[in-house]
Amino acid sequence: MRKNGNSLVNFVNTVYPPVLLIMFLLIFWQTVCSVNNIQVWMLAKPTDIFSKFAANTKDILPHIGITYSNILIGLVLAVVIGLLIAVITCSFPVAGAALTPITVSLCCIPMVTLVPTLMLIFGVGRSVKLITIVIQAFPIVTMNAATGFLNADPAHLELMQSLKANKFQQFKYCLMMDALPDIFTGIKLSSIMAMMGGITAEMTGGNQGLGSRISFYIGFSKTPEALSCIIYIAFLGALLYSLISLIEKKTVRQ
Amino acid sequence: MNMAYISLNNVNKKFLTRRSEIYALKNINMSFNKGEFISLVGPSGCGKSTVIRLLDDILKPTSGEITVDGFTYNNNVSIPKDVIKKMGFIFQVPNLYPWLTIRENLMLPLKIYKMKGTEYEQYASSLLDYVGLADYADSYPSEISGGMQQRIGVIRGMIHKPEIFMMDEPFGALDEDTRENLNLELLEIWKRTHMTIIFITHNIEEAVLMSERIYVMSSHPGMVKSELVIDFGGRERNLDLISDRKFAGYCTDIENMIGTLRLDEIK
Repeated sequence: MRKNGNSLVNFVNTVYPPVLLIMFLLIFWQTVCSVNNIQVWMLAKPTDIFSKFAANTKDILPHIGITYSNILIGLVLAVVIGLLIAVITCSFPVAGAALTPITVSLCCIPMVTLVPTLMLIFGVGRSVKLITIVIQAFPIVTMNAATGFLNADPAHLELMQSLKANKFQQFKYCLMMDALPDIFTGIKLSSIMAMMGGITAEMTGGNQGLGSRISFYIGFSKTPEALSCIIYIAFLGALLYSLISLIEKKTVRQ
Repeated sequence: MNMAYISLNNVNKKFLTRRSEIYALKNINMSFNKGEFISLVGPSGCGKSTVIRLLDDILKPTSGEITVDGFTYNNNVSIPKDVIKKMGFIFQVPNLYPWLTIRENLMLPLKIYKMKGTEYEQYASSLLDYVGLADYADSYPSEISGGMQQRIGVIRGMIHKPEIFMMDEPFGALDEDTRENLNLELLEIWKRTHMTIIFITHNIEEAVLMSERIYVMSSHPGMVKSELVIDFGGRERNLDLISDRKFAGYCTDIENMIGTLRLDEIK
């Protein structure tokens, strides 16, 4: 238990190292570009990128909204589907044996190879993006949650058995809670996967979302604009990840 | 002869492992009367923990029958809810859920049994008071000591007001002082409630001090070696008994029994 007085110090201690490092890297990047006189279309300087931020924000804002809402909805769907499959996998050994190889294989397929086929079937609208995100994100949730369920403390389970708790009660009061840390690991990883899947789908087809903007800017050699979109993606991804970590901190107690 | 409250009739238990079959319990016949304090002692591997896991229907007997309060169950028949509610099970470790507060841990059996009401809330508070942990009701298990945790483990087994208390080496993992204190608290609880207590231990002094009857078991396979009635002529059970000549006598008897068991094994 830390005292309140220390929490501010702790916060500052966790904030300034990354800020300092990022500053240093930006300065390094800027210097290398300036000293070697690198063309803007090849590699834009940080100052070029940041000047585009201000100019482009109005154009980009709706795309950010679309990308982010797709990713959030896709992630929620992926978590629900992933958990359901994990529960089925662990409750029925035959179903588990049937599903596990498929789940693992799905994890290994780079979505960029699947999206063109999906677009032939589902078109280039919103649905194909959600489908891509779900396919990319749910296997990681399933794999981690299943690990959590299978590694539940046998003593905890024995308490449930000694009380003759039914399967649902065992799940609600014991298995689910024991698996929670692993489930959160799965959700955190799948948020990264969802980000990757969503952008991949947007880059491949359609004219909405940050991914489509990046494709567009790269097509016209507008490197600073493309890089500014990528920085948005990185920032939004990190935000999503830390949001989930925060929820984890509030709910998990081991 | 009147029917025993709890009885095991010709119970066998085999465990299947990958390579072989292990005979954990062979032809176990035991009976427990209502309100009795009985200990099971024996070398490790004698299946004493398995006996109460069979009683509590956590494990199924390979053959044989178990009767509790007139209800008989076996390999095929499970124990019904209203019989399981008569039993409280205490583990060797506190086995509290780290994500629940002390009070939530204590109330967990009630949630499973769907027993609600202010009378149980009050009972929980009075139990917490009794073990002196009322101030810690909203703490988490990781914030209290091992001895405190095991006290909660014990009163969690009592929260639904069971008539039968099964304890699997409940204080084995604690230091000598805490163990002695908790044993005395348990005796107090027994005197007040007159529950039937089935107590598993490898500590012979502990067994002799507390029990009215002791089953001594042998291992490989687990069998009942002998049954001893511990009688101090109606003297109250407390630490004064340790200086009694009879006390030492009982202890030596059991030690010799287990000692010869070990010698048999070596042969």
